Amino acid sequence: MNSEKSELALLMGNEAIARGALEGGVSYCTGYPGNPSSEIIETMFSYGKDHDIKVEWAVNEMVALEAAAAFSFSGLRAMVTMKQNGINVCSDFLTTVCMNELKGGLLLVVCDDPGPLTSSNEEDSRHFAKIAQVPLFEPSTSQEAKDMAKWGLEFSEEMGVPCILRSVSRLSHGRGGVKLGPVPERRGQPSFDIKKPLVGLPFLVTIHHGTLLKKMKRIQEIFSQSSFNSYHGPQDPRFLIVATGLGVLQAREAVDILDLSDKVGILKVGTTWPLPTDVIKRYLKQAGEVLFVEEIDPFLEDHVKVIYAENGSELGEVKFFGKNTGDIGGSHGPGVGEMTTDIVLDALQRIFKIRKPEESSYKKNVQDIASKMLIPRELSFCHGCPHRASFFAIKAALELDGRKGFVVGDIGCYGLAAGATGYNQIKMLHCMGSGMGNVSGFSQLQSFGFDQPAVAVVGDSTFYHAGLPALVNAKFNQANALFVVLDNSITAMTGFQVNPASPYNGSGEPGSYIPAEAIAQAMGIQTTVLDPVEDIQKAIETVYRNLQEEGVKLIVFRRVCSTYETKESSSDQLIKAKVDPEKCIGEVCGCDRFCSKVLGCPGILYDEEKGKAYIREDACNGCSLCVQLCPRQAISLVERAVE
Amino acid sequence: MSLGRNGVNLIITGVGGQGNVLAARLLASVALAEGYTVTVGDVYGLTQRGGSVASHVRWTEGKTLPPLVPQNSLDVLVAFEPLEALRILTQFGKEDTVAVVNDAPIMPIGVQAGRFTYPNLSDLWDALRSLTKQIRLVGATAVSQRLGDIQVLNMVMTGALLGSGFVTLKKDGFEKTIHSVVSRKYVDIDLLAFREGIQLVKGPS
Amino acid sequence: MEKGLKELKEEVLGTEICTGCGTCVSLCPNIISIEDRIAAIGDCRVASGRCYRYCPRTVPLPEFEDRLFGDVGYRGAVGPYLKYCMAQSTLSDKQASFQYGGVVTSLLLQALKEGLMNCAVVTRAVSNFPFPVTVFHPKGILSAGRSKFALSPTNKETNASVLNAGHRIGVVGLPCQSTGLKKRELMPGEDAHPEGKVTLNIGLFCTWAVSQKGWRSIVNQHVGKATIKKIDIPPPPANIMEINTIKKRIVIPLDEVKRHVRSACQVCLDMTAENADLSVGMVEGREKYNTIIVRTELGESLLESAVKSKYIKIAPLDDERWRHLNKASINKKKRAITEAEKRKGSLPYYERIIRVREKIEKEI
Repeated sequence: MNSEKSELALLMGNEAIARGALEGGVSYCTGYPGNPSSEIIETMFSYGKDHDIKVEWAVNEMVALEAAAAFSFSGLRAMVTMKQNGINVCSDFLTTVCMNELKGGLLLVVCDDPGPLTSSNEEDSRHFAKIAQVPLFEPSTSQEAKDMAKWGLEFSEEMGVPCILRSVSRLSHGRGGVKLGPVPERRGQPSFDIKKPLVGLPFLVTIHHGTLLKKMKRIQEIFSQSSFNSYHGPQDPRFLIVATGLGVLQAREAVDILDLSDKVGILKVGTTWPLPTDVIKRYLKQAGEVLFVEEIDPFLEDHVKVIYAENGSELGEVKFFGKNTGDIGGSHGPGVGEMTTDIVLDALQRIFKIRKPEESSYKKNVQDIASKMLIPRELSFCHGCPHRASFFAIKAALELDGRKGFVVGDIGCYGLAAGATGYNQIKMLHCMGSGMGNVSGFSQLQSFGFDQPAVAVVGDSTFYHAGLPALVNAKFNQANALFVVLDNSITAMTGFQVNPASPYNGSGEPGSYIPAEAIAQAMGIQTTVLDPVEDIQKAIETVYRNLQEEGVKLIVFRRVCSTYETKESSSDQLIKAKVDPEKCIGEVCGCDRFCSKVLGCPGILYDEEKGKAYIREDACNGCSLCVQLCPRQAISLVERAVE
Repeated sequence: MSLGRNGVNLIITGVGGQGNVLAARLLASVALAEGYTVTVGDVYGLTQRGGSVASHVRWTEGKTLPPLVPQNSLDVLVAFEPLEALRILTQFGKEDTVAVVNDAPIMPIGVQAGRFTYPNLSDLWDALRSLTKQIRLVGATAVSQRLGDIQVLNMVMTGALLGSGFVTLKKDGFEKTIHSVVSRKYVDIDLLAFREGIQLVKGPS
Repeated sequence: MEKGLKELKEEVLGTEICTGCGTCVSLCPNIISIEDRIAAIGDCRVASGRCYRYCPRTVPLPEFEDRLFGDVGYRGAVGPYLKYCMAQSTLSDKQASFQYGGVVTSLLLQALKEGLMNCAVVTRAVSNFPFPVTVFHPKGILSAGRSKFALSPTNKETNASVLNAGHRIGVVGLPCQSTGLKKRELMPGEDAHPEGKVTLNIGLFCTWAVSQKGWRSIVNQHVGKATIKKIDIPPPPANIMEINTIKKRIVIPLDEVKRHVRSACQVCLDMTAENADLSVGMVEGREKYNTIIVRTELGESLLESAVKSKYIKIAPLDDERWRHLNKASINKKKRAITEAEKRKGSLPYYERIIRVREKIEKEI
């Protein structure tokens, strides 16, 4: 969206947040790619072309927040974006920086992933607002996301404290109509006042902590007047729904569907922390029953109950329905999985004792059909993906090694190796870079009689994000550890963002390339670099031999992501693999359709009638892995005929 | 089809990479321009790896709806792949759901590897017919291949949706939005695909 | 009886009785190998697989049970034979490097010359780390002399070589490898495509082999980077292994070497390669000679031709030595059975060989 007129645009929540930052006069935007937050910075990159804004991808959220704070302390406005795991990573700085007074606004945007849909944990970031004692707000629509981003920067500057905007996947990636506003002129000259040091020494912290708490009390009063909090419903509701974020829309829809709008009022809370106590007290006084609709933890629920406990006499008797009471939850129970209209409907039906419609014949019919026909559609590595070869090599090497070795990994496209596409190799997977730290530990088990070799896999982006300390730690503590960096030159899973393994950085500048092996070699670590696809037997042998040796070893499997390469290249890939049906022996002893069954590339299919494998031309980029592994040399690379 | 009290609930489904996101954006932009309040529900990332994807497009005359269609509330289904049509109907379908479904299956990796069998196609068509009030099975993949670019499938299907009459949005809005949303390189072929899609459905069914 | 990779994995592959012979490798991409390590990486669903059929440690088809010996069946201390003798190559030490009598080399040269084979699968070594190769010329045969003490999965090269339909292959292997080849010959299975043929099966006497990993640690510790010229194990009571480098003679306690003996060797019944065409070993006390046991007509005919071509000189083997050989072979069988009883594993192989004890005792 590049129009600057005041008109309605269909924006993704993330695009709206970026637009809000632009309209809020932001000067610096940084973050680390993390689904569902990545599109914010990507949108800012496009704004950065026409506006005076510095945008970059950091290697992790901690350095991102630290860098952003530099702008804020120098009088300019900055925004940092991340997913819920990112706020964990930068929490050390977040809980320290709040002790000092900002000059320019600092907006931290965290996009939680309820479900989760694409994460290795399910976490409610709102708790960090409480831990750090900073304001937090939750938008309900794309429009509000834009408004809050803009206002958040202004408010943060006004109060001198970082502010958190908390979104969730469905809001960040959903679209809605947004009215665009004007973009302000350039901000003033940045400067750092050396006469006013910002130092976190213990005795100063005590003073600043006190100041912060007083400030939060003031903000609480301001929030009680905020238009981000609003009420809709009957004048005197006996039943009140208190909701935040998308919960507001879901509650509204559920109330409409059940025709309860004359009985149920909905209190929308937008400024979730500090809780706008006066507003809440006002509506608690009227209501006899309250249901909470919010995403992930009963954060609002718990704190409203504190308000009630402190003001009980004034508020009269109130019955609370929420996650703690078990009254609202999905198939895995309250507080687990994303909130939906269906869950709110279910809760209201039970509370109001509305009979649910009987299971329709449609439902029975469709379930019957599904049980017979609905097969899963598993995820797989793309055709030509180098991870396929990497995990094939590692699997083969571990089998040959014979000591029940295993792979410990983490998040990214290669995380799919916990499944069939990566031969179920990854046996342990947690947060970014955790595989490397784990393997340091597994190797120390050797002195306790543990002899299973543990191999850590880590992506290129993850290596710089969290792997470096683990690498140093392994060397420093003399571990017998094998680390494999899966370097495909790009941060692929989150949408092909750049990182230090890419030829350019986010601004398209060359010269920012830092190969992993350079770092390892500087540390005196034995390092091998090779393309895992080009010679698969060599890849297998390399991993096998490294497994036999002592000390810290690094293998870099380097080959560019095939999907990224296809996207970036201007011409069509002409070299494709082709099966010679005369030579293919299919399912008989000697092969048993190894290419389609075991190798599992989505470009390879098997014709059961003919008993031959064949390759889909549009799903092949000629990587040659299948060519090398076919026992009858039935597959070869041919130049595709150009029409 | 008139807008119900709760607006139109529509889902576009397919396999990752088939272009459901762009189609949803197109549809939603048209609805927005016609003055409706629109919400699109999507998930990005994790989708190009051959998995199932779905974009929920909801528009109403009134207040903003949440991004996901509630269970058993689907008014209109647009499916780029027939197995995914079944998958969506299982959770969201109801008696009077209407659907436009592409007839070309895409084998899941589990089928290619011999772990599962794709359902028999004529059984699948029967199943889909029994689960919808009206269904248009269209050869959109064949049209895309004829046009020389499988990536325009989503445009053919969007045209087919319009041609089916299952939504009351106007054709001009679509063409205008294609011009503004699609990169210049592809505008011509996308428009062509869109128009072919309309004809695909308007012809004898 | 239909068995494939699934049963092979349950009964042999990946267990401690896998001999590493390589007979299951290179038949398909599901079984892979590096050095003497063998592993399965795919789940093959073929019901009747050649990997199971050829493996020396699986049950053969019932109709062939009485034609297979060694680990598979019992017929006397040294298996079946037509004749036995002592022999020596007529090639001088300068033309080739021999461990003892150089008989294997000469038999191969004769086989190549008369067209019984057009290539041979033999074992070469670098620093005595063995690896199998297919050779086509006398020079190649000559380069493969000398005993190796670490295991080489020779038959993986045989299987690879067989894929070439024009190949007629002579193979020199250990007893387990000879058994695998004999099973292949008797029960070839429905091969999908025309293949070459193994036309000559020469087995070497074997008491045990060490793993390549174990061998590497021995060499690293005692020899370092020096070039090994010859390795020998002198007869008891010496109880040492002698390694001669260019500069010196290194002595290693045999017990230290034996620590690296493969677990599968400890339950092996076959000292004299009972399933080969010709079996060749040393002659105690006569360093420059070999013992030959001729088992098949093909083997007999080849030996005769080799003698006629003056490649080999033969002489009778004295009764004392023959009895000694029989005794040593029986002792290996008994040791294996005792070990199998000790292991009490659930592997069908153990149960089969334990029953051989009865047959041995009946005979003695």
